[in-house]
Amino acid sequence: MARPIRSPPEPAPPEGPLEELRPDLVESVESLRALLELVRRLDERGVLRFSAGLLGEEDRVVEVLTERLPAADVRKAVRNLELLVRAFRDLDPTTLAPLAGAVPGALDAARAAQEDRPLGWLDVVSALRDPEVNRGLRMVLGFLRGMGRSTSGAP
Amino acid sequence: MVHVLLDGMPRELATDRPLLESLRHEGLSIPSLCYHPKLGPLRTCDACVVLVDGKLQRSCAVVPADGMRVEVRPPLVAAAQRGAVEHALENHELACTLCDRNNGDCELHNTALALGIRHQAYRAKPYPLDDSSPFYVYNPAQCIQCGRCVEACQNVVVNEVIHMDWSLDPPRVVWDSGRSIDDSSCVSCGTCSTVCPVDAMMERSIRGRAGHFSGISAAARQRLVGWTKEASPDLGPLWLTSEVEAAARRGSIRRTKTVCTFCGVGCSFEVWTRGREVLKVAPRPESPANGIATCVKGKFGYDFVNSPRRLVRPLLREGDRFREVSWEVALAEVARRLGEVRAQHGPDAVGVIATCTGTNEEAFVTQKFARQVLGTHNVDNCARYCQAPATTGLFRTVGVGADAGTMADIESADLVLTVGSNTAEAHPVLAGRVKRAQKLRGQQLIVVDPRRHEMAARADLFLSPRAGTDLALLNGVAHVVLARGWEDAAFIADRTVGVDAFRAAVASWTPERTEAVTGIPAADIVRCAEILHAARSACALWAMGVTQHQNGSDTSTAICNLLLLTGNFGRPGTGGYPLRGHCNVQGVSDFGCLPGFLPGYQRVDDDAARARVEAEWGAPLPRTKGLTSTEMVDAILDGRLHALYVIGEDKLLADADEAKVRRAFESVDFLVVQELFLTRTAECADVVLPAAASLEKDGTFTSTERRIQRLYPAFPPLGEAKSDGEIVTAIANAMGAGWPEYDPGRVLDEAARVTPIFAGVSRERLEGFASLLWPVGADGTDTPVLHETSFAFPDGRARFFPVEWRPPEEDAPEFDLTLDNGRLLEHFHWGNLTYEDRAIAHKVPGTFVEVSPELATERGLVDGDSVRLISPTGAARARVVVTDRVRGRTLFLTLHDRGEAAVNRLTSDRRDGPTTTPDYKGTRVRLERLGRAGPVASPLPRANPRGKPRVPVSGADVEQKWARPDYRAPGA
Repeated sequence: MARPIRSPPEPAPPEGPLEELRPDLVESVESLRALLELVRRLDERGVLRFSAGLLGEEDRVVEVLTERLPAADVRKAVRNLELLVRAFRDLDPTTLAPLAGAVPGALDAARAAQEDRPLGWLDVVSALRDPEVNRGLRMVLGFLRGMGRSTSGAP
Repeated sequence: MVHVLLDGMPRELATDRPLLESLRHEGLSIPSLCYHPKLGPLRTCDACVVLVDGKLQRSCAVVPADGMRVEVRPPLVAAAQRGAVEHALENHELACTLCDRNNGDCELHNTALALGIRHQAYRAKPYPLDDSSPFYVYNPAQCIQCGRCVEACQNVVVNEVIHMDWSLDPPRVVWDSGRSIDDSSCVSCGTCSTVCPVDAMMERSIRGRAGHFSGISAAARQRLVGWTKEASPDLGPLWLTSEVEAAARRGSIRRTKTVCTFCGVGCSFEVWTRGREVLKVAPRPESPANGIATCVKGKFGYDFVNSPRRLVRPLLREGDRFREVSWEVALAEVARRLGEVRAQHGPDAVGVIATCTGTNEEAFVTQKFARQVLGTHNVDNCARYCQAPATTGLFRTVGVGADAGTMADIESADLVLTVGSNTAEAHPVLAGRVKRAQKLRGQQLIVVDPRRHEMAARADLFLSPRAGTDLALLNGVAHVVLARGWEDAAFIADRTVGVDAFRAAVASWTPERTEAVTGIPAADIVRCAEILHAARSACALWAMGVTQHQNGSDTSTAICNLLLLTGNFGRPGTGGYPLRGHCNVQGVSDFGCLPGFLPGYQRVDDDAARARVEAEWGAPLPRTKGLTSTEMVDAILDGRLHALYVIGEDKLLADADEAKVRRAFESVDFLVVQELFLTRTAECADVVLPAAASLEKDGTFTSTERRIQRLYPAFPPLGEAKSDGEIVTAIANAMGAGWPEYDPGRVLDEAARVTPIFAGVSRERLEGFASLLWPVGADGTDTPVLHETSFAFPDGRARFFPVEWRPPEEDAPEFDLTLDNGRLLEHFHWGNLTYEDRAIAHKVPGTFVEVSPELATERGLVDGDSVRLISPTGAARARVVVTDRVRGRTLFLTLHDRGEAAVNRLTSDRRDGPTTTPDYKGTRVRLERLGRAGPVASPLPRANPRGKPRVPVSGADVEQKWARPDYRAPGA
């Protein structure tokens, strides 16, 4: 029909669903850039692919894990995990809070009290007179009592 | 079958496979690292040892025999097997989670894991990684010295580049005599990386990309491996994490079976992709045509699929610009313009060129569109440029225009005769099978060609006749066969007619006369006949060097006559094989994109065949044949053809006499082009439609063997591109055809209904790597070897078809040089696909003209000089490579150029009579040296493998390993 055309084609005017989205995209351009940057890094580091791969091949991964891990070890680990979870569940946070809060101070004091000289009976007796030591010791004894009560009859 | 005692129990084992495979067949788990079903026993790894008659032996190298006692249970067997694998682990540092090979198929990983190995004693090696090649890398640090790559290179593809240097400490693979990969004679077929059981030899395209963590730097890898070893020398955690990671990979890497998009050999493989990224091409042992072999294009040449230059939207010409338009607009325009031309000038004013790189199903709908919707037989394909004369020669003599057998027949023949075929570059994987048969089995090879290419250099007899005189040579050889009484009298009497006329026709072709015409010494002509006579089976392979001449059909006929004369048709290991040059040029012809034939070579004047098709389509078909592709150009210029629909063919560059085709395109009323790229032809179009690549398609291809194979889409088409089948269907419907949506399965069923030779072809029978060789009976029985019981004529007998040599039409004497032309290994056609591949362009950046040393001396030419070639048709400009691949006054111009060196600026429009195929190879030129500005370099870069000495060895040479002082025999 005519002479060859070598110049690049004129792009078609945009249309379709992407055009409908355009105002939203323009408004959120900074957030989208940040999101894309995050996605890009996740992809570069293989995190997306690995996660997608794991999700896509869930059955196979489970199969490999169940096949490779010794059954007895898995049972033990699962049971321990379960007990720990239960213990944490039953703790009353209002009781735990002052105790947990006291730990850092106790650790600091412990570090300060480090000395090479061996501890003698006189030191212990005089420490019992210190009201802070006395209060701490009471709590420890109470903990031990409770422990003994809860485990009475256990092997 | 033989009877053996297996761990004391009587068993029957097959003898057609090694003991190793038989034991595995019995359900036993026997480890192995070096054994590969396509390579046979290499005996380098010692992992498969079992007790045979009380002695430890490698089961890969034992063939079961009657009374044999085989024991696999004794602890010493397990200890020896384990010792061998532990020894391999001394050579390979396990870091599987970080390894690109951790895809569930690493043979060392799987073997060590199965044996429960929990520790390794890796010894670092003093060799650096060789990553010089853009195609693949070799990491000696991870090489387990199994020798598979060497066996593949030396004895499967027979490129004879690499060997195992067992004298080094530790041993390693070496290229040539110690060059880097990129600087070696390696032709980058990639078969070494395909067979490597670990990650030592690996495709670059997958390196650092397969794994979730394999892309980390070498330093980070080293630290991670160090920490892991310190933390726990036990391999248990490594096995666990790497297995989980491998499983996760399966979710993101897709493996799709496909068929190669380049030449017609029909290599099939799995392509590994992630999204649109091609990670690697992995042939499988069950790939029927190629097994594990590939060439550089099929293994590595897929960059074009994601090229930014791909067409992704339809284009519409507006003045001197193209404008992107929607599919609706483009289809409406095509339908309107084609409809107008048909209404104004009649259906025969439209022509359709089908693509030979589309699928069979697409070919079927294309010819259906021409015939049913437009109402014309003006449909043709690029076989017109290449193998149509071969088809004619076969039709005349044996009645079926296709390869007589399969590659297995070619490999098993006593003798292979190639005529006008640069097989090692144009059909490299097939050439590998011929080279293998010659190297391992002593198959004889006769090569007839003007150029001393690789096959010619390997030939037992190389004949280089004057251009256009092959037919005289073949008649001369037939004369000698008859004169000495070497013809196969029983075959001729039982299975042929017409030998007397043939005898009379060749009576005058004495060796002396033949020598005078061809320039081949009479003694060589007699020698050729002797070798042919001595061979119990012979195959003749031919290509463009025969067909692209004024007498292409007749020379093809002469080849068939010679085969009939010596009884070389209708048996395994015999027959004529025109080598098809495109992935589906066989199929596009088989499925009816020919002006004289309906699908399955049913003539358009065959009333019964036409009636069958008319009933299926509900439309009357013309009784007279349509125009060929070359005739369409004439018809445009003389005002008979007004619209042309070109699918996947760069016709402007492909036809002879480019200037004439350009004139035709400038004067045709409407040109629509369907393409991947804006090719030279597409630049001339009124509408350009973006098409899909083979990796994006579902359907089937038919290879040169007549083998129908399935391809599956690896990913969807790029942008808005569509498959040819979808586009043709959409145009048909825009013209009111009312076809259902394009569905390759339904189309294949329809083709099977109207085509007797495809009666039993169905998708179910072509699942995965399954294939069918037509004709296929309704019950699905296919036909690997043709003519075994009868030839395709009413009386079942083949025809001798005497052909006479006539001197080719000559040009004026000032055109004093013969211009041979053809393909290079690395590129495909005009390079629309292969120049998109940076790695390929690194090896061969552009085209060049080969000049013989004699002519270079005479004209004062050196490598890199620019010359102008002038023919009676036109002129071209190219750079010189001086080489003894050509001789005397013959030049060779590669055809991979779209600009000033495009070969068809020079070729003339003279044609083969029966087929109108252009006489591309009969071109005469004169040469003018253009100025030399300063020092010039060869157009072939240093990285090009041509001319570098190869190093043939017998294989992995395990005996040298055994002779090493540090070798520990199994169980020792």
